[in-house]
Amino acid sequence: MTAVHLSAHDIHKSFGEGDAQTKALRGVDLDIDRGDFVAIMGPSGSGKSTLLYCLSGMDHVTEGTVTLHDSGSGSVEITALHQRDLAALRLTRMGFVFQQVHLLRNLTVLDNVVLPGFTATPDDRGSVVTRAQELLNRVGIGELADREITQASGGQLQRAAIARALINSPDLVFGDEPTGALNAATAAEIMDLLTEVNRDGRTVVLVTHDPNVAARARRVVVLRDGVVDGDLRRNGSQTDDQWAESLAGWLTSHGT
Amino acid sequence: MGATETLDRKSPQDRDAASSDTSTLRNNLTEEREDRTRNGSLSTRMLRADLRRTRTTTIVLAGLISLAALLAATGGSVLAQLTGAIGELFAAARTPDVVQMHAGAADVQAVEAWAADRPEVADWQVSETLPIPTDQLFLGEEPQSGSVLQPALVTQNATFDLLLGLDSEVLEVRPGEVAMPLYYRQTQAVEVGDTVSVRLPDARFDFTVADFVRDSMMNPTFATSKRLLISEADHRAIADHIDEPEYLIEFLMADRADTKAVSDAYTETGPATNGPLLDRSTFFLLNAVSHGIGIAVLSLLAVLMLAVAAIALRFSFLTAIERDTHEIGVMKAIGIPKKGIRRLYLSKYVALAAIGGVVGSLLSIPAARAITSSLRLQLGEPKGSTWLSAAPILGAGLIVIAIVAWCALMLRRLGRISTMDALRAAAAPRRRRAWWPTRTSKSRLTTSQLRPELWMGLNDIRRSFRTHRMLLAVLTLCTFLFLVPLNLWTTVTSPTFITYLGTGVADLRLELRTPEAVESAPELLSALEQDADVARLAGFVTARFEALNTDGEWEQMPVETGDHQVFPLSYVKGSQPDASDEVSLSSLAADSLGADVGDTITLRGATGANGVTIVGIYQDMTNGGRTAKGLVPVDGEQIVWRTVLLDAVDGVAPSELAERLSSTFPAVQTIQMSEFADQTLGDLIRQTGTVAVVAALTALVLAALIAAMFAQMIIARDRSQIAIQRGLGVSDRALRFQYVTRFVVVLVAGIGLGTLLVATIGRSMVASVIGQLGAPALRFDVEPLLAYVAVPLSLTATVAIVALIATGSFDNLGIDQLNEE
Repeated sequence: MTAVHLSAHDIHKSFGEGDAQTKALRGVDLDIDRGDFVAIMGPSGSGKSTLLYCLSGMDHVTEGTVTLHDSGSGSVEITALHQRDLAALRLTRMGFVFQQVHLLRNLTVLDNVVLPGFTATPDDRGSVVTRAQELLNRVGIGELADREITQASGGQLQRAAIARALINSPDLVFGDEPTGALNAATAAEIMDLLTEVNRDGRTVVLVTHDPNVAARARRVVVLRDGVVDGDLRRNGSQTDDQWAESLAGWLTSHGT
Repeated sequence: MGATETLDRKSPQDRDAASSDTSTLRNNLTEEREDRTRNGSLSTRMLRADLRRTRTTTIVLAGLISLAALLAATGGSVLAQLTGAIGELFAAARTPDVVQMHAGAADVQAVEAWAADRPEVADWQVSETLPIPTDQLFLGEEPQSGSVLQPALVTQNATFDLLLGLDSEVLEVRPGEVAMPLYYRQTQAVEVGDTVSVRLPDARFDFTVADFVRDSMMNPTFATSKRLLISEADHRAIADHIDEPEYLIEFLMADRADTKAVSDAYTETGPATNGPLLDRSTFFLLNAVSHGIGIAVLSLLAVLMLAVAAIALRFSFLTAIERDTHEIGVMKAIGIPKKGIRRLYLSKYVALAAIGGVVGSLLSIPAARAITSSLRLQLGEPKGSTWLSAAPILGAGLIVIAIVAWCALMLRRLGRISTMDALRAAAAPRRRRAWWPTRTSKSRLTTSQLRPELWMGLNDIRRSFRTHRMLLAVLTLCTFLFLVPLNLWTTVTSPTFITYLGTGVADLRLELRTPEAVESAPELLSALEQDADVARLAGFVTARFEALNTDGEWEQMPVETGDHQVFPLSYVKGSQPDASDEVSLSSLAADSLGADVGDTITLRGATGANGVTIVGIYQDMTNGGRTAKGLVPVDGEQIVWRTVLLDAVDGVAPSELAERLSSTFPAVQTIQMSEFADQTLGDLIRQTGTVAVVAALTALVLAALIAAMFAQMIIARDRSQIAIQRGLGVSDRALRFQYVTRFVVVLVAGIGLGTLLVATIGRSMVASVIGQLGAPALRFDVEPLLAYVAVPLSLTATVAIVALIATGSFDNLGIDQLNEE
């Protein structure tokens, strides 16, 4: 039986107050298995990014609970944690890849990758640096370690972001439209990397509006107006093309 | 229908058309007005939204401008009140144009004859004063021995040099009453109704204080002579007991331009010249300088505050431009003219300047009243005048104009933003070049041994030094502002300040000013030499000589003769004279004679003129600052006074020795040197202390304001970077450490720079001002604990606390900020 890694129960998220209040999520229930590769899709305003940030503890839910299940140390209710503990959790147990990369402008590529590592294990800098360089090599930009981030392309920076996401060996990786700002070829390369990350045993949850990207996942959750509209799983016998076709057909029939 | 009828009468269609045209025009005009109202409201709405968004920055900017306006307006107000009050006091008191002080018998008829011969003289009088040794003057039961003052009893003059009361009316006192100099009220807490007695060896006279004297000539502390007003009857009774009265021989000019000519003529040929000769300009200067230092400091503070406001405005403006680059690009792209965009931004700064100007002007009213309380007491309340009302408005107005002009200058930058660059700017991260070249071969965080948050803070400074330039500049100014008045205060209150008063450092100073005291000098010296409590002593004679200046004119030059090696002065150049043909000069005397060390000047005494070599230049803030010291033999020259400096033996308290000598030699003024500076320059010293406190508080408040503003701006600018780091799991504590590091590092650099500037520019500035009083080579006597520990600590604590508060919560910098980048 595959263990549940992350579970969300009856998640509500509202923004604003009174007449200006908008409900982004209206009671979402979602269990994500350990080692799964999940894509969250939906039209603009469906609440997919909001769901991602609530699952990762970056944003507070209005109602509901999110629980991180750890095979070793038990479960942690993310929604009950204090800000300080949430930060520690994100630092050591989670990795993030964003559409706009979000690297720190005053640091080199390598510095950006080591920063979370130094923060998590300040006493073991040597290992962190070694690991960071290995990760950069793995994602194909080892030679760019000392470059300023303004001296790298969008695709190279996104690779660096993936390396940063992995520096503390998290078992859960989130991505918010990681290929949104990239051309098709580069997007494909990034998705190859994320697939590889998933094959390493990490749970990957990403948000996308692109069916081609979603098709790289094994499970696609579709949101509409803040609720789960569809939950598709790839069965083991489907080829890539069959899965993509099945997914596209469902999306078309549901007007997504 | 005739032609005329056609012209005079419109057809119904024409009438309708005309009516329709008028209606259309009216509608168009109404629409246009509504448009303008809508657009005006739009500008106002945008201004309000911007002010709301940058609340802290706006408040700080408004505060800085208000402070600058307050200082300028207050300075203007005080200046107007000072000049007005002095002018009105001199007019009411009919202050004389020339005053010759004379000790000894005065031939009134000779003076009358002399004056009659001078058509320039409109009026003259000889006023008899009865000098009272300080140990014979009692306030209650307290003798005034130990005071450096020279009190004298006088009666009210008939026509000019009138002594006024606090209501600026000519004073009259009855027998048994005395009107005391304001000095005693301000420093000794004497009140109306108190008892003052004159206890001569053979008689005692008691008086009740009836009023206080506003003396246009002798109000300031710099003037050690003080006049106590009594009735004619009391004056006559006391005069019988005073052997050597003194006289004020006073002249009023028909045309004030003749003052110098008459002064010089009297010096040459006047009868009764046993004392200094002063003119109206000296009295004006003494009154002005006593209170003018405050104006000078206010002006300096106003300029400093304006500089800080300008720096802060520039930073705020550049931050706003950077933040709004995209919006500016959009506005340009859709056709809004440059003028319109400029007006949008300028409106904010004009509003700030106007608010600051108004607030500063209003606050200057109570501020000026507080600062001028001593001025108004001593000089009187100036009557309302246009200048009095206009001066503070002018001061604040200058600040407002300067601010608006500065903003208009900065806004020219808007024109340089290209539309496409601005639109693209949001899409790509801007490259930030480090202030100094970075080695690209190694990544620095990876090789640094510092904590990541510390390194990040330092790296941010390195990478964006321009951003921190403003903070550095202001904190440097704050340090400067804090230290200069503080160092000046520690200098004037230090025991070695005595060397700026033209005297060596000793425990006691004995002054023999009355003829009786001067005559007792040999006996006094002999007794002191045999006194077991006296460790060492030196006696000096100050005699009246003349020196030939570069214009070929003879100038009064009092020369102090004696052994200058026992209690040596500090010399700016050279050293003390060792031979009878050598002299040292005070700085002002050297300037006046155009002479320097090594030069020879001609000194004329009773026996003729001789050349003497200048071997040293010292500083002297007393007696007009023009003095000389030498070993020139006194042979027939008029002796102005004698002095004795002495040290007590170890174990003997100078105060006890002073008391004993006072009672043994009542005619001699015995002063503890520790009080000499305070009594001679009391006003200056007190003002310096007040200014040091005000400057310290201003520096701290300024540092806090700028730190708060900078914190708000920098956090706003870095909001996405902060959000990223929070998203990665960097704790708020670590983030706060980063930002506090930036503040503290910049502050330390600012303190270092500021301290350096104080030691160089600051000292020169102060020396150039104090130089006018006789101490151009003033060196700061720095109190290390204060200057190098207390000041940096207090500034650091202030800035660190503000930085901690400003970075107290990053809760509002969350995930939504990421999407703005």
